[in-house]
Amino acid sequence: MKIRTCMLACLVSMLFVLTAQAQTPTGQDAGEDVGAPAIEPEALEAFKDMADYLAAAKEFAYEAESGYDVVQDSGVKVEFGGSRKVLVSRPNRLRIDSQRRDGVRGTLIFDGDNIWAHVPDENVYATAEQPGDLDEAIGFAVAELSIKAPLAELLSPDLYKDVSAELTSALYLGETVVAGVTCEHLLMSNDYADLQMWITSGEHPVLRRIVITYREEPGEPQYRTQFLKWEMSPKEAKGQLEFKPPEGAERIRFYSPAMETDLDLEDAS
Amino acid sequence: MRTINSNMITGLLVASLVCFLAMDFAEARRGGGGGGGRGMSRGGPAASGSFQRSRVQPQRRTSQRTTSRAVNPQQRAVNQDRARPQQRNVDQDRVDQRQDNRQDRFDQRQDNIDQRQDNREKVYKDRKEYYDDRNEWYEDRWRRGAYISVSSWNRMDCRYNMTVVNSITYYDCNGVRYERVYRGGQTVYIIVN
Repeated sequence: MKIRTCMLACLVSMLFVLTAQAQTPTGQDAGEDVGAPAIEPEALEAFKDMADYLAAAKEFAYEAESGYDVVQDSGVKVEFGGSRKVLVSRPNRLRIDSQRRDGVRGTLIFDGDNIWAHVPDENVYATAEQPGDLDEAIGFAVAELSIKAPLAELLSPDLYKDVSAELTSALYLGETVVAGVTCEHLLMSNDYADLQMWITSGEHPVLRRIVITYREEPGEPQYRTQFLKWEMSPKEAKGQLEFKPPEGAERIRFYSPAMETDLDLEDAS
Repeated sequence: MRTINSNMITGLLVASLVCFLAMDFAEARRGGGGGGGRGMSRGGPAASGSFQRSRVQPQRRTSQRTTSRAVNPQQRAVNQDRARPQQRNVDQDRVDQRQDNRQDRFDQRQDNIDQRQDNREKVYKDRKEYYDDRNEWYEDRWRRGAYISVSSWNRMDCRYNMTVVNSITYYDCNGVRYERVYRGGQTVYIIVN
């Protein structure tokens, strides 16, 4: 009888252990290598919640502080960065006010018809015709007008589709607290970079922090942004999304790769 | 019957304990204790939070030297504790002193060699950086479109002439024509001829 009881106890023990392991939040075996590539539904779900929430917003604004590494020839990394205020009004209007850490300020406005770049400290501005919707206009501005638009993917209504299509892994790392706010910590990778996101838990899933590690680049530099403030119904959005050149402002051209071509031709001659 | 019940309770207790330990182990693998991380390593050089390399990776040579010096006085103390004739202690001290002196001279020579090597490397690196910068400047100027920042422009101390052609303002300075353009979030002056 004692033997049978012991066997019964062992069976119950094994059953309990198996049940406990099956109930781990990630559904992973405790002995599994956490570094192995995997697409976890929980990570995709948290990311999709955030992407859908932003895509559904007709207007939103955020303030953020960013930094990025520049790998010097010597191999050392130096961080540069600045702060920016971003105001989005779909389908085609955007304003970005930025200040670099060296003090250079700038304003970018997409008013639906034109793209305006204003440097207030020098009272100069450049302008170009704006093609298509916001997504298309940003693509044009980055490629043709040498405008920097970090995290422009966030403004795309196809954020989830675009990012998830290229993922090689997506891990849900658990809940963490960022600047006093409880967030879902995700780690996602494609074949070029690793993307860590901290998304606010609850009904308003917005980004609180993002870190991109350019794994394939020498020195693996990082881009980091801490989101300080989100507004999903920003006040007085309309007035801020128009640009009127200030009195006495000088109009200059956007730098474009076409200018490089001219120089090459001159050099060749 | 009482025996069976008692054994079953014991079995359940053991099972619960095993279960608790298993869950604890699984939690530890995930990083445990809240704060996420899920078993990811939190170590590495950056975890030191120190700017100084020596604090992140203590140099082996320094510690070896310190150790060797630390051993000698200790050895001397042991020797002195032993009931030896006084002259023998004096001799031993001289031997130790000579050994310390030799060690110091060796260390000094090694430091000098290292210093000379560092100097040579620095000169080589500086020279290489100079040529790299110069090559980069020429490459930038003729192949990618030369430009200078506003702060560099202001430092040029150039009495430029402004010319407007097709609503575009050009700045002529020392025989070079520049145009102020918006590039990558700032204004720069590019060379147009």
